[in-house]
Amino acid sequence: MFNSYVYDMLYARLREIVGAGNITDKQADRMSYATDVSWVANMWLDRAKQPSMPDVIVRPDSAEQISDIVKIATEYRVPVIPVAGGSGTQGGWLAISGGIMIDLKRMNRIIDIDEKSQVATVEAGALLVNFERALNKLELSFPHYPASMYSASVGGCIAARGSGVMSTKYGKIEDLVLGLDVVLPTGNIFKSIPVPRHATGPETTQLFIGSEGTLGVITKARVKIIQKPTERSFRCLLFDNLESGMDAGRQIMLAGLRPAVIRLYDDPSTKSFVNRVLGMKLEGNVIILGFEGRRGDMLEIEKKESLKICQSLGAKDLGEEPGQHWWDHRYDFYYPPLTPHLPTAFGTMDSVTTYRDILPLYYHMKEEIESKYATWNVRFTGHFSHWFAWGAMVYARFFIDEPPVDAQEAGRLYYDVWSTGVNAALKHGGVVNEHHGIGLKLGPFMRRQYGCGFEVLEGIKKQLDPNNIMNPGKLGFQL
Amino acid sequence: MDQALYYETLNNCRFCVMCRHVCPAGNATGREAAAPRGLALNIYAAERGLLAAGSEPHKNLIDNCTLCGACYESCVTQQNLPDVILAAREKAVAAGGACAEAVAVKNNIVTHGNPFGADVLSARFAGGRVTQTASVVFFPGCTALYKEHDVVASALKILDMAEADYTMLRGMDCCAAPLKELGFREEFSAHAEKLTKKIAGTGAKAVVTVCPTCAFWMNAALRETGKNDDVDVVNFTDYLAGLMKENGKITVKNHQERKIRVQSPCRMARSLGRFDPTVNLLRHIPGMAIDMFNAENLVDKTLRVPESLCCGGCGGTRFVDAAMADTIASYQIEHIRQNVVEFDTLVTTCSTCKDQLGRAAKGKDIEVLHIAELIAPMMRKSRA
Repeated sequence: MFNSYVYDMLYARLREIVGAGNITDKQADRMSYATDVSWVANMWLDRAKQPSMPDVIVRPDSAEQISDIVKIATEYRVPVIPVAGGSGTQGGWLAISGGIMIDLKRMNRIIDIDEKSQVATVEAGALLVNFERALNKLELSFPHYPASMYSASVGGCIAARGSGVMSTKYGKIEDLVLGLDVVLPTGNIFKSIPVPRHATGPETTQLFIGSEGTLGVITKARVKIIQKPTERSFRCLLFDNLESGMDAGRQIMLAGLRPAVIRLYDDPSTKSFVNRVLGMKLEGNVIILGFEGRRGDMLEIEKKESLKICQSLGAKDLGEEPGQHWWDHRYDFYYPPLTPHLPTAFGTMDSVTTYRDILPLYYHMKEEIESKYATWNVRFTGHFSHWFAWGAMVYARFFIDEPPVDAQEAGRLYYDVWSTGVNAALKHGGVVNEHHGIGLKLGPFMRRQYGCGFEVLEGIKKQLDPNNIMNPGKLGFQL
Repeated sequence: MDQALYYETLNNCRFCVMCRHVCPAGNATGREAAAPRGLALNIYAAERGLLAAGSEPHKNLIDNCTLCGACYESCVTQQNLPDVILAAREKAVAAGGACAEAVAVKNNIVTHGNPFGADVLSARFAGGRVTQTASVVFFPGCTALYKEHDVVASALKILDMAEADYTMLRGMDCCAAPLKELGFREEFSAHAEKLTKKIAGTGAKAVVTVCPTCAFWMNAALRETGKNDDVDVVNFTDYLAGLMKENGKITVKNHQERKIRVQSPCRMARSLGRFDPTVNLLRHIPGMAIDMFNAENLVDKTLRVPESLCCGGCGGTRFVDAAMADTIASYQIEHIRQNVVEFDTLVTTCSTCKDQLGRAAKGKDIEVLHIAELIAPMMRKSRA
């Protein structure tokens, strides 16, 4: 970092704040924070390259401790990287310039449950799985179920502006957050105004949702919770073309129906993924619909109307069991070696746009990637799994089974593929990312997305963090 | 461990975060290095030369993992990371990289016959019987002998009342599990050889222990030597269930007002594959009402976590980093208190769990009892 004694003083001062048991700069600890689940970071280690590591890891217990930590970091001009779950795919938690990593997992308390309003206040380091288990015991639920359920933290989901598999009914994380406490780079603690719907100036809570630790450290969130669903039902259908499946989803959403789950798979996904999960031999476009709530009669109506729309567009009904099987086993395919793994290069190019543009976006992205990287035998799959009243999200994935052996060459090819995918998304009114965030990986594309308008975000960053200590080099901000 | 499987498992675990939420060490400390991914990543990094000198990979592997197996149990693809960690400890020892704390434990067992470095005790244990031959060897194990005297006394009371034909082993206090779990494979094999001879000398066909770790590793030792395939090492709960059912000399009836919760030790549940023998035993006792596990009412079954909770005492961790082991024990006590229905007595079938959790529960209105301690006061001689 710098002069040894200066570092020792920094370490000792941090230790004064968090206590000796909550600070470490041991090799084993630093190595454990050297990677999230981003492909490039994993590949780098896989090729036995020395990774970027934090210099020191602290585990504070309160926003006040974090405030003291960032004040010291400012004095020393040392980067601060807030982390918790480590399930990010975009390299958001990588300590690319070393620095102080703040692990928030000790801050995992549920502060308050307002059952009358169905609002919970929870600390940022609580893992989603534990938060949900605790709520379930009270017949409540936080309906945010990402694939990273077991490892992601509440704060991490908010910082990455994430989404869950039931977002179609309950919304993305930004729809579930009512307020935040954020330790700003100055050490001051920002607290949202009590409710998110108001005319008390711009909605500042939303500014921090998706800020990925670049504007401050999220320490606490007030979130919307629901009464635990007592009824849940699935249905699986098969379309013979993607257009019909997409139109079915669109009509369901525009009719005001709100299934919790709509997952429409392209033909390659049906063949490579769905068939593997369900043990079937299907061709075409599988759609899984899921409905839930506490009123069976309402659920039945929603299901009946949704099925009617699907069948009017030629869908073949495969029954309830395949959908239920998907639900019960939806995490199975994130366990290695079932999940994509090295040496295969892979990435998820999730984007979102309106119903008019979503299929052109998908086809264009597919064509661009398959043609440009044909020599690498690239594979491209996609499904559509977050639906809105105006459009849908495409979860496009690419796979290159034999990327370059050389780590740097592999990293450069990886960037090229992403650049191609992002360009295709932007050309059709899509976004750089829909729910995984930007992190390190997609930072260079932020200017393509915003153009000169990126100065809005840059200006906010410079104002809040003039010394650029907060997770530098992420979200397209300077290193 | 087969080397291909070792590396396959390591490669699958080094970047995976799917089981961190079930890891007692990871949960208790919140440290990434004490969670399965961190451990796998560090083994991998050490082997690829990515750790700087002085990083103490052997100590790190012991400090941060109790080999409890919760990660393995929860893994959909059944990656046996505990076996990899054990193999990595053995590799480190074989390469001369054993940490000083582990070497001290090894020396204690080799020199004194127990990991604590105390004088040999078992032969002088008050009330314990040592005979030339017997049908059963009662082997309390080092934790019970040196730290949990009430457990041993209770077990002996039960054996005596049932008029069991048992003997203890003179000068053999430890099953040597710490040697195995710390990575001293050769020393464990040598100890296994001695232990096997001692047991064979009694003519016993069963060994009864109050510690599932002893049961697991003694069975492994007996099989390793290949000389005592017909001798079975059983946990006290299973033996007690047999006595209550078939012995005919004792009756057990509960007169106590206790709200009991049963803890399922990881060596019993996962290593020996016996999840609920204690519950089954208690269910057959007249007057006994227990709540085993809180029947969780979860929104979906994918949220379930393994029910067996590690006390922090396994895997050699407590001998090398007692503070870490105690941190896990305290975490588990808090975890149990928050997650289950009201109880005042936590019953375990493991002397190490009794020791670890008993200390962690002090001052928290919970009494931790070994099954022998719970049953002994309820036992009476059957009328002829």
